[in-house]
Amino acid sequence: MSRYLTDHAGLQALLHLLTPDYQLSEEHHREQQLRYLDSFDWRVWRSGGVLVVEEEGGYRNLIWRSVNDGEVFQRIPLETMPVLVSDIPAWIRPEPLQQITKMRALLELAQSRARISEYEILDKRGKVVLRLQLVHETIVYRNHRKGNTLPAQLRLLGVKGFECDLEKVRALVWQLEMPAYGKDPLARLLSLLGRRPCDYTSKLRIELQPLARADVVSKHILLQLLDIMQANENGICEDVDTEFLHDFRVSVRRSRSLLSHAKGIFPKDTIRRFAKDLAWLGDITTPHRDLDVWLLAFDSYQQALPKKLQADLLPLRSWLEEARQTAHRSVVEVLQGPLYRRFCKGWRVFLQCETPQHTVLKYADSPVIDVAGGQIWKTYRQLREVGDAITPDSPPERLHKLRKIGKKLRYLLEFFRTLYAGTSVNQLIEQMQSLQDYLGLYQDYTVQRLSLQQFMQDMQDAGRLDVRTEQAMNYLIKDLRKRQGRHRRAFDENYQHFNAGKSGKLFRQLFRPCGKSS
Amino acid sequence: MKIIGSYNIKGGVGKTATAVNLACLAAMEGYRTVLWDLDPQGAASFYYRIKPKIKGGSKRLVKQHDLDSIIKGTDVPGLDLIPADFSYRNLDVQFSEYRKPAKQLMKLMRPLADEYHLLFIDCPPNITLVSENVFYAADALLVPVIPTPLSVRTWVQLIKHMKHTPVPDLNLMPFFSMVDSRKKLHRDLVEKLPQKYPAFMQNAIPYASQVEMMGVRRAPLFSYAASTPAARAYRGLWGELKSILNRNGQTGAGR
Repeated sequence: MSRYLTDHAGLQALLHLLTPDYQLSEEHHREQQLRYLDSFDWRVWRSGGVLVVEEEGGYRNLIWRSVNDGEVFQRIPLETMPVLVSDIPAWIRPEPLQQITKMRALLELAQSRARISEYEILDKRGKVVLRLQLVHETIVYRNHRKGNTLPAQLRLLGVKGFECDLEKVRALVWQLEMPAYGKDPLARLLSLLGRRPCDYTSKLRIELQPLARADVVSKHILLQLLDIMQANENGICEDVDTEFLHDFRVSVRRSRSLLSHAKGIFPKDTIRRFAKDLAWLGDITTPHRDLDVWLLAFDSYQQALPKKLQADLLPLRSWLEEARQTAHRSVVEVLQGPLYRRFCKGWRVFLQCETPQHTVLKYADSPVIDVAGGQIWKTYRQLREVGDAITPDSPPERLHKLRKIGKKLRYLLEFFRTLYAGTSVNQLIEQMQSLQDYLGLYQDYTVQRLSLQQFMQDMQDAGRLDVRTEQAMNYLIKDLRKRQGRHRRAFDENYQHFNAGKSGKLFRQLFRPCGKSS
Repeated sequence: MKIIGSYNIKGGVGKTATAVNLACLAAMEGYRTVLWDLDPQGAASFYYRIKPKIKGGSKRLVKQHDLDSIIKGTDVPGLDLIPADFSYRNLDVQFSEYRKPAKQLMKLMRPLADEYHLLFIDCPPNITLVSENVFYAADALLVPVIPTPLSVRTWVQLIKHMKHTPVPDLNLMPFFSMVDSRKKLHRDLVEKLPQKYPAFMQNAIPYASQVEMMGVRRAPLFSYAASTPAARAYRGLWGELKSILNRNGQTGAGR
């Protein structure tokens, strides 16, 4: 499909040029209701696409097209509106789109109405070889306000096997000097709604100045993390998808991590108070997240079992789903309760409060680059100390400790990466990520094996564990133990991989305070 | 992509009308659909106003495996057609020259999997190497059965034959076609046969002159007689087929 910016006069001029070689059908008028969708974190837009549901004459189609030129990647007929891409029947589900959106729900961004004037272009034998559409799209506001109409677009829809006719008409469009339509209509609709694409991300968007005060920068980062937490509240309460809670928890964890490095930057009492609140938020959301993780991975666990045992695991799924509902209710209660509201208010007041010009705190007014470098170096040294001491006989707790330090270090690098722009800091983050992935998977095996044992006990206590399900769960426990063992043996390789690749040298170059030897 | 053959050993039972109309309905709903007119008579191509001719004939097609280059868009948006060619009458011989001769059709169609949701095949009648290729490639076969003894007999022959093919569990979806409810014989068979063969689909296509008019109009039924009983019956049949696909969509033929 090609899109051009034009109006009715432009279309008539084009049709006039076509008449010597082609026959034209009568003008057909159509009307479509359009609903633009994307995930909360704009995964489709970020990947260069736009999703729109077209409704016309009782039929509903999901169109996945390029944001730049409108080229249709896929058209998927819908019987019902999917929440997730995985809700679309498997035989018509577009796998690449599934890979992009994964477990994120599709949410409505904007609605519009399209009036379409269509002509079929026929060759001399009366065969349709091309379609021309002039589309007037009008935004539909939820409060029934009169909608603005976007600039009209001319669409050329080719017919397979008759590409030369499309080329011919494109040349005529060129001759008429019609400009290309440019960015997708969604961009214009969003701007009418006072929004812009990618207005939410779970990542930090901060450009830091190296000489800015450490307390100012810390507050700035923490305030953004609080914004992310609060942006996800509704999605958690309405249980839209699992990632709202995930993003919320990551922000809580990052905030806790930064606070743990804030000694001498913020007053001790303040750190203690808010660190306690953040720890509470982490704790009360953990059971919910753990159950989400279980349910997200359930299919893969089921497939790890021999075929004859797979159906026997299903009672576990029902158990997990019920437990998840209970956990969700508890989280919603907290998020809508007074304690959480009070925390948010107090935390925001503190973070938005201007820092005093004179301070007795040791590092508060120090340049952030000095403080950040020092903290990163210190944490890196801790990581090496713990990591270097790990032997094949070290207990899992040592690896968990290494993982926690690694996470702190990665967060620090991410918070302050813009201070080190133009260096290899991103390479370090990638290396950290790779080590973290390894350690994370190891920890998952450990925790999941233990939690599976706990589920078994709970199900038994509730009289919900039959022999076959017990057998399937025991098989899974054994399988997790095997995986954990295999994974453990790969520690050296992964840790060495992290240490090789010049990461040590880079850490020293970038973060070691002057005058200190390693 | 799901591959649906419209097939019967017997000719003149409504295979082409079924493939043409169901493909049209699928495309109208937004399923990206392609119809392969595999019958050298080229009736489906004729209905869709596309010349039943492919460059280089079937020999070149089988050799070069470039099905995409011969596909033509029909006048129904979203529906493409692989035209017939008189040389398709030699496909048996051409397939037999290759190793794994029964898998040649499937090999030809494989590259289309990402482009289309559905591929309908309007099959020629008879049991030949071409039909064996269809059995091998298809996810299901729609089998139009006229409620007459001869047509029922060929249905029974087909069931028996399928047991001896490499795909004995291929999903056969028989349905009554060209039903004349004025005839007692038709009424009786329509009532009794599904009791013996529960696979019969619920929707039966009535005998209707509007279906014959497809040849005069050179268009599917829905472009000129969308609200007739025959059109309603095809819609019902398509609805049944769709729900089977949605239900079994996880398990493709995978052969």
